[in-house]
Amino acid sequence: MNKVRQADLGTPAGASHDMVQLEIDGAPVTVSAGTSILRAARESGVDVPKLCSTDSVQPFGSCRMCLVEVEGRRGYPASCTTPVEEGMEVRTQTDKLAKLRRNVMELYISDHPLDCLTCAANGDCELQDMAGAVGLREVRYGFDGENHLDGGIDGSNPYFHFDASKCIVCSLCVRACDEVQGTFALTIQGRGFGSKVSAGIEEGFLNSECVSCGACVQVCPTATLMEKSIVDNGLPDHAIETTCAYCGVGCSFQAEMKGDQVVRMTPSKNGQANRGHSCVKGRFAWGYASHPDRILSPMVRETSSDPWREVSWEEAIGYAAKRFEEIQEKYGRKSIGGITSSRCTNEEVYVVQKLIRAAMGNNNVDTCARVCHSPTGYGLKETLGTSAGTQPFESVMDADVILVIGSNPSAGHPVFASQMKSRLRQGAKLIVADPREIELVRSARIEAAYHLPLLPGTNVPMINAFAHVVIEEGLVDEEYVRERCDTESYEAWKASIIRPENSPEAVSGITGVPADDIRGAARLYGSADRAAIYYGLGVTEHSQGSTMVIGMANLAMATGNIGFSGVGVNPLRGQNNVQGSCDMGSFPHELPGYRPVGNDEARRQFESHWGVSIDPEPGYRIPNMFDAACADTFKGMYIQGEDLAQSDPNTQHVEEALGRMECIVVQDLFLNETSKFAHVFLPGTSFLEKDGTFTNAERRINRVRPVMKPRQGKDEWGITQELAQALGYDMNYASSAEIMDEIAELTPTFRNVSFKLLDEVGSVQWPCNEGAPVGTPIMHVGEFVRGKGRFIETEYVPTQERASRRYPLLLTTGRILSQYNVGAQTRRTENTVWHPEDLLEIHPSDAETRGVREGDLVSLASRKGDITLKATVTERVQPGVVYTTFHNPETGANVVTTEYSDWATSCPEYKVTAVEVTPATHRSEWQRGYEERASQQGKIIGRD
Amino acid sequence: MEAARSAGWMGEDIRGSGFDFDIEIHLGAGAYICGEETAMLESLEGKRGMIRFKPPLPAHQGLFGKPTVVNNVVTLASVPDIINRGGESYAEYGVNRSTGTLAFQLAGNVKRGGLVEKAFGVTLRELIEDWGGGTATGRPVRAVQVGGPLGAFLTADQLDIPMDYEAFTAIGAIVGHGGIVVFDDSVDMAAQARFAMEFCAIESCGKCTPCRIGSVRGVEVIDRLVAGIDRKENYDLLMELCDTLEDASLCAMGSMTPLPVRSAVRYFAEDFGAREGEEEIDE
Repeated sequence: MNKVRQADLGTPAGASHDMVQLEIDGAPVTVSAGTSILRAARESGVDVPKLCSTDSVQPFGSCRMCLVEVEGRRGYPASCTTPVEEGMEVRTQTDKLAKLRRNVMELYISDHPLDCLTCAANGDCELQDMAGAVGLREVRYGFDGENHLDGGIDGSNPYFHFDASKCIVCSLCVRACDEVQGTFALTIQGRGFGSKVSAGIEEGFLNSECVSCGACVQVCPTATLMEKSIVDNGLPDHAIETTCAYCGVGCSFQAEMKGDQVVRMTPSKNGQANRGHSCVKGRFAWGYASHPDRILSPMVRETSSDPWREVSWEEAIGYAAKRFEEIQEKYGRKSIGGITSSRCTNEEVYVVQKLIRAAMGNNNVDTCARVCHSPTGYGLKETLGTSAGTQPFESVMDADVILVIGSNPSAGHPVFASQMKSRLRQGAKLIVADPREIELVRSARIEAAYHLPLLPGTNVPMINAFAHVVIEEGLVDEEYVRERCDTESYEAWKASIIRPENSPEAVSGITGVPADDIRGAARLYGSADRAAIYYGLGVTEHSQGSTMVIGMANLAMATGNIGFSGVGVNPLRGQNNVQGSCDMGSFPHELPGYRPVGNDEARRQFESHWGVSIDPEPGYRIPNMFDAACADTFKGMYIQGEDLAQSDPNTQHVEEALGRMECIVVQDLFLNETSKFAHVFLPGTSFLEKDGTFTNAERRINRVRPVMKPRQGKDEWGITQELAQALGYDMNYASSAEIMDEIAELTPTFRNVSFKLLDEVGSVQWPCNEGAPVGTPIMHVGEFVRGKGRFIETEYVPTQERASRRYPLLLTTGRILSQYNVGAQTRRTENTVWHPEDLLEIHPSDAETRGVREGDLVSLASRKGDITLKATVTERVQPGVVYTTFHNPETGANVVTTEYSDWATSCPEYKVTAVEVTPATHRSEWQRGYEERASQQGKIIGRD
Repeated sequence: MEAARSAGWMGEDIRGSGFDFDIEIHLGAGAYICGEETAMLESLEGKRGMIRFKPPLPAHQGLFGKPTVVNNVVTLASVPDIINRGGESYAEYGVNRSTGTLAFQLAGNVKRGGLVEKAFGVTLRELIEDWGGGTATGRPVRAVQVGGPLGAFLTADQLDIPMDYEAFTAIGAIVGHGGIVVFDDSVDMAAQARFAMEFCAIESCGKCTPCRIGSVRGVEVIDRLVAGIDRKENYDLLMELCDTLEDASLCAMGSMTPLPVRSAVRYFAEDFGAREGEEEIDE
């Protein structure tokens, strides 16, 4: 039997609170009303055979293996589709049932290859298990009859194959694709004996609409849909539960292991964020961890034009410390700093900010949240009182209206998107405000009530117009506002919003969206019983990012949509631990737990624990670090797991800044764009080697458990600790758990958090303390964290980045499903089959006037720089707007973006750049330089 | 329908009554399985004609999830008379618990095929001989299939049993929708049994295993039986397969296919390859 298979109760849980008592095989069983007999039996430890059901999809009743007898009823009902009833007497094992099950199994096996011993699912096959359970001993039909044994294998997907000869047509894959993933890529084609699973209309998995989430592979009871990693390596011998290191959904996975090698990652049903679902990245794209590009030895070099020299850890750390000390001696205490990584654990982040504050003696610490969700932290703290989203993911299942702004969940947060889609299929209404027609606008069984294709940069007038309609049409929840909000701020906000310039009619000209649509959408949101806002970087990465976050919080407060399930203002956070890295004090002005460094009491608490004095002055933000570097006053950086040179805007400015520094220490898995400017490279660990916690977009603290030893020999927090020691600060943790204990001690919202608690309960959502011993799923219940909800006026100040005659188009950037961020990981997996290069999306009319056809090379030029890439002509973008991704370094998408940034938090305005597109014949100058640098600079002495 | 609508007997506000009633006709694409009520509902929703499990019954959760009454044409055809003359008058027709009338459909080897509406209680012999005029070939009747392609075969000895649900059930047959297919003495009943399995194989929606695979295996087993291969084993296997189909199928398609097969084997065993001097297959 398979050792790592997760328990399966057969059908989904009954949702009712009413309990029903029945008897199964003579034993009393109590379950909730609506539960199937099959589940009731399995819950009570009675394993009724089954093949076509599983607890993640609705029952289907096709395999006829789970037949039972019910006292007083004729026939043999399928236990998966028959709900329990009070007083029912069920028999699951009788001679008649045994014969029926054996005879049905005989039919199955009469059309199945007899290659169990060489089958990839040998030992992990439900068909095999059931044949054993029912005692099948012969197939009297023989094997010469009609069959599907020559069905062939579709191996087009890089991660799994479909072997038609082994398919038992249970439809689980089709139903999982429909119900769990919501893509509807699979179907049963033909009928009767000719029924077969088809991806699309016989398009093969790779060419179909399949998004490779793995849900079908997960539920397949045979080897029909099977991971190629299992075909190649055989079955796992043990499994360890851990957390995915891709996006902010924070899916729990079982790392299925053979010794210390991962052979498969399967989504954990216990995962409170993902509940057994996954996407192509977490499920399949983990191979980067063992990619030959991984750097496993520390390296140093004198200047960034020298080749790298592999050295011992002691030498590398000593070298870094010496250089940092020399810089501080020469340029002052504040001339160095560092960046924490949202890809790393809370514990790893915590020690880096502590190193900077305690060992470097300044607050020059920032994190990549600066360039993504810093406006979220600011805007939500100012209005509601806390720098985080308000809801758990499952809250969406109670929403009646869902407003998605500047987020493409099906690409960026696929597992949450599936949950949202299932709610939409139940009938919730959808409003999408996005310059592009994202997948959610119109996809299988889903159509947005309103798509508001606003021009990039016009979020604020849009949200103001929503508020205007809500006020004007009497949709304000007056009682809620009176009881829960600061009425003075409300009145002031109301007076400003109701001004005519905020009416849909006035705003229509700015946003490019018809006034009627704005009005209709606002009315829909405002009159919903429960309306929820979900947003992403399309909100934050603007010069008015913070204004927009505030605008959404205002709207949600005015309509009474915060503080219970089904509502809220929900940031979909980009990186796995971006919430956590912010929580851990990664900002130059805040200590862990968002306490200002200027606050004497907070500072004193840390000072007494850390045994140092902390600078009361906030340090540099990332862009200030670059500016200071260009002014030669900031000379050294310790960069934990972030590729600044690829991900930050205006690449050429970043490169200049990095090039002027005297000591850059990069701690990462791979050499990257930033390490081209580095002097010390400290190899990091992948999530498979980490011991710690990640905090996802719903404030959920999940355990990350090591499934193998650090491949380069050291925990990442240990590296930081040794660097701190080398800088003369006595940091001395014995384990990651100890770091969390210190975090809990010093951070009021984490007071109860410990590895022990997490191992016991799975995960907790902060605040987790005396008042909420196992966490807080929904924030602001009954009262806002700051007391009264505060309305803040949101006047629209347009960005200075304007389209002009020379740069008539607006570029907006984003990401796609198969690639992740700068692509450091996903580019080193077979995900590249879906996205080999970044493309420029351009509307047919803009393409035609420029003589651009599908697949042509085009030059994309802004005031900052130009690059060359291939164009794809699509109506997904509107006329006047072009779009691209930034996953590939050789594209250099951020060569084009500007340094305009959010007024409050300096979050860059990646989403609005005035550009021109022209046909091109060759790579841009920057790109040619890139190629040169790429060939020169990753050289390591003694290696090719 | 156009006539009824233009005369104000159908549509909105019928004859000023404030009562609305309309009919919309959807043409099926010819799949037999879409005659099963739940498959029909799936098909009407634009999906594949696949059987839904019950409960929920369509009356609780039917078309697009709404409570739905599904009636067949035979039922609807009895409505005008009941409206005109009342239920009691209608119930005066028929015998025992089978009250009222049925539009019998005469087909197969019969001189005058077509519809004849008679009260329950009429015998097959009356229908075939009096109304149908006997076989078209003039040869004697050997077998009659009643109730559609999933109905049992009756023998010439059973022609005097009255059309009565209970009486038919008692002999392992069904009245069903009243379809009657007549065969003369040249019929090969093994071929008819094979056809019953083949029909199931062709028309199966493919959802449940007994019907999807069992029907195909049924054809193969009958072929082996008729060819004289391992006769005892294949006979037993065929009977067990019939049990599996009857007890384990999801809908009537699979569970009723054994009716014609079993009745053919039971009453016409000589057609299943029993040769001179060979022991008859025991039941």
